[in-house]
Amino acid sequence: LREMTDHQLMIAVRDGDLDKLGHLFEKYHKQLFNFFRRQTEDVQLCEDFVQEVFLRMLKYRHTYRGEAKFTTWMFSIAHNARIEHFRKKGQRKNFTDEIDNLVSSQPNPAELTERSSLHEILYRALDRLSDEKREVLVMSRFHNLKYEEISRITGHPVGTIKARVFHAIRDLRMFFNEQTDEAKQ
Amino acid sequence: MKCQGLRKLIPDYLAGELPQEVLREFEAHLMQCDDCRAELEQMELTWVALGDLPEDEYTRVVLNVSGVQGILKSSGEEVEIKLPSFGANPISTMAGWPLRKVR
Repeated sequence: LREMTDHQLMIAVRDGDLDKLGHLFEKYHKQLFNFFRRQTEDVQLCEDFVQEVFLRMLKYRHTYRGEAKFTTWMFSIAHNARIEHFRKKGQRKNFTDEIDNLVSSQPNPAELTERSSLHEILYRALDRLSDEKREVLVMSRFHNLKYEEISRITGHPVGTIKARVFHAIRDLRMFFNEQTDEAKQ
Repeated sequence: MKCQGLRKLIPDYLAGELPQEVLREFEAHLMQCDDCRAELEQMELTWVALGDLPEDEYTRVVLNVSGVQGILKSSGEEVEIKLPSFGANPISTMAGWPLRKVR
């Protein structure tokens, strides 16, 4: 098994050797959990998403062709599962609302003093990005996916992906500076 | 290379996806443009800080897809999840696979 690539494992699953999915699960469930966790506060929901991704891998295993990398296929499923969930729930953030959010949903100073670490501020800033920007940033920064892969996963042009990353980082910086300035006052 | 062109390339630069020849132009522009250098510096700081964010500890769920049952280990407790038997028509059976843990 050590010699089997992700692609070979998934091909085996596709061809009926379902136990092999367990190996892919062992390898990727944590990474998938973190993919969702960077975008969703609800830990239980993140766990459900991970289950859902593997369920879909089984369900749609016959569609696996291996034209792209296995992880591209896997993240496509993760991307779709998440979008569908929030679409059903009607909870997706409005893409254009985010700057309002950046300005209007600031924590109070006492709260900031309590949780004023750099990490906490960054997590807050990530929370306030639009889904679209946050997702591409998470894929790029935390999962080292190339922009070309993210384009395949999300179905958006590479130029759009890069623009989102650019604006996501700039928004994060703006939010971060606002927070630290406020904490100093 | 002009300022607007450089800024478009910042995501590639941060992700290490700039081809060598473009990188040389990129750096040449930075040498002579204070605004772009400041912009990049700010973005790079954020990019690096993001990389330092710790991952959530995630050791709670283990799914063992072997045969008809998987075991979930959830923070010390063992719970069972009912998986469908992979019978003659597994795809239709999948629809009945409960997503939530069966406690």
